[in-house]
Amino acid sequence: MSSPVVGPQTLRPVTLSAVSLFCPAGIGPEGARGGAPGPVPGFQPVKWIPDRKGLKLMSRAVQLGVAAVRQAIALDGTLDELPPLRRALFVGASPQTGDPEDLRPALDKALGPAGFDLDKFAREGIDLIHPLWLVKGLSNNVLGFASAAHDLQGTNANWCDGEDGGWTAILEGWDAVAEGRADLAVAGGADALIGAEGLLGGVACGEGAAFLVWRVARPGERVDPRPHKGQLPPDGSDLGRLGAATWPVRYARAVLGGGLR
Amino acid sequence: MHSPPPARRRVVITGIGAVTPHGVGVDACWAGVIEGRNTIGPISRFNAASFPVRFAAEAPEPETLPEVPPEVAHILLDLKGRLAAVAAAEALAMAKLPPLGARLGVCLGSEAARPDLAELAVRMRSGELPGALELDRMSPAAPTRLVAAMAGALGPMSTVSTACTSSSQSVGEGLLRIRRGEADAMIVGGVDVLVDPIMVTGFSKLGALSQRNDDPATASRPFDLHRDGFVLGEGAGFLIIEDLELAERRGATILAELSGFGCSCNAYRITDSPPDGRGAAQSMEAALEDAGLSPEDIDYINAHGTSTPMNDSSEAAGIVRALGERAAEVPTSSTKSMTGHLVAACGAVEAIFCVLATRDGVMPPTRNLEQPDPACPLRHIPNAALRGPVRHALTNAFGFGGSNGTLVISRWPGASA
Repeated sequence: MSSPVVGPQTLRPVTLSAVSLFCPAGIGPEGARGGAPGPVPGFQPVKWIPDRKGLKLMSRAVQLGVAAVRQAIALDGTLDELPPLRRALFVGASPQTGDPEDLRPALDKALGPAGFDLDKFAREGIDLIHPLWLVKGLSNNVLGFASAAHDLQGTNANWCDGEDGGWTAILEGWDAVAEGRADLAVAGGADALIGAEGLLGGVACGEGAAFLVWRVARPGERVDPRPHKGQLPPDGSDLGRLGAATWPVRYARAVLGGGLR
Repeated sequence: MHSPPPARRRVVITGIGAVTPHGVGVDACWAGVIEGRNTIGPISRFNAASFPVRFAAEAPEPETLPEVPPEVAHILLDLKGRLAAVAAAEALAMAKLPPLGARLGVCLGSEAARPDLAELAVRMRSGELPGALELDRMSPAAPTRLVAAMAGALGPMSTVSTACTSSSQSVGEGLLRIRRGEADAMIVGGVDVLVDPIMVTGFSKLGALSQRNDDPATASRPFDLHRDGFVLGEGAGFLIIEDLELAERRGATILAELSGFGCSCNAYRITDSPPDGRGAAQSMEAALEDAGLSPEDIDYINAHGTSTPMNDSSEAAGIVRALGERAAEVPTSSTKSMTGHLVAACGAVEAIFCVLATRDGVMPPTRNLEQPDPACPLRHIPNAALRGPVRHALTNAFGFGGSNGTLVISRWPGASA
């Protein structure tokens, strides 16, 4: 039979080579301290995402995520040295069920004094919906757009577990490199919850994205152990609810703020 | 290419559970695909008379539901939760796991549930917001929490959302967690319920669905020259996977070995796959390498085979790339020809079919395959099941967004129905 058991698995040394950060306190190292719930100041998607056609299909969370992946890869600077199949991407994301506003004209067409008329929706409403509406609502759009932008053909996953999704992505990235399934893994999360305060019981919300680049440590480079939440120092600032970006942003702020490495 | 780590835990499958359009329970689902029975017909769940596509493969409503802890009972209000609960209960009952607490994890493939269209329309006009419990049960992670609570699982818990690849990756990620020592057993699988007005609208607008409204039974025809799109389906599939040593120690009945997982990303376009089958091939090659197998070891492929013109030719090209000359010899079929496309659940359900193919020595057919597309030069199993030993089976899942997943299921000596 395959995969015989002969002892514990050997792990390769992993280093954290780059960190990107977009959070309500700012972009990059600027975002590592302070901050309050709200948008990412100065974030202009067109400055970060050259794919103009794709940009139209990206929600705010996806725009932040794609931009943060780009920044992390640029800071690492070694991507081109690796074959595409050895480049991994792990993302924590919130479910994107499609922007309901995009359906409003079609729904309004079918909602009359007698209630909602499904037959009328089908006859007169569907034509008012953009053909790519469903695509805009895919939960794994950060993964889809960022992998295409950077030719990340290796192992991957998109985790939708609320705040834990981004943490799972960070761990999976480290594991993939340590276990030899990738030589470089971009791992983090993105979310944009501004406007969702009512849905979340009135709590203050923010938006953000952060991605780490894990890769095989070269001789002389620092070796980073598998992350654990307990290693993160307390973050004294309240950035509001950040959903799937929560742990990646905390991790990035700890690194860039000097509290972790 | 890297060499797989030489030292790791072996992972076996000791429980399976399923609900598909063929019925509730693994036996009904397996009998349906082996008999080549169609499940696709007019949509009954809502009035689809004026929709561009008016047929689908609907899952049956389970007649009885397992008892679940009160804190997750609200998840059963949705059909998705009910299918998940029933399939998980079947898998757990079969595996007879002892209480494992933090050594038992859950990793499921699932997407967010959609709101009822009429309710959405009214709410958008009134500004009313959905309640906390409704939001909670619509979350992709709701089935994960439900199943974890049912099983008393306190170990790693996570939810993969990569469209049609979700549950293939969830099985693979569960495998990695056991190998890594994070858990001794994992509940893995997926669930999806897609026959609703929003999804029928969305996929119709994309042009992804078959338009054979006049003849739904022939609409899903993977690898056939006259295929014109996929058919939406519904279902759930769960597997209990565990460390071989644990299974042997407790005297569990082993159904098959989960011996390999491969994953790749097309890095191409959101809804298209590369015509040369690159991503699919990479996923299959990675799975074979992970399992320590060569193409000659594979006796059956359960293809993703959606019945879209693009997927099937791209997948066939990928199989040829990955398996070389062996591609023309390995019996290959797509069970979506009978079940429709279960999207986030398809990877797990089709992995279960591979478990049973290795156990029973029978390979399900591709229904409606009348004129194989020359662009899909595979050894098809047209319209009738094929009998023969299956040492190792590959099962593919490819999704919007570009994620590809392949699992290798290996026959367990002595496994029998």
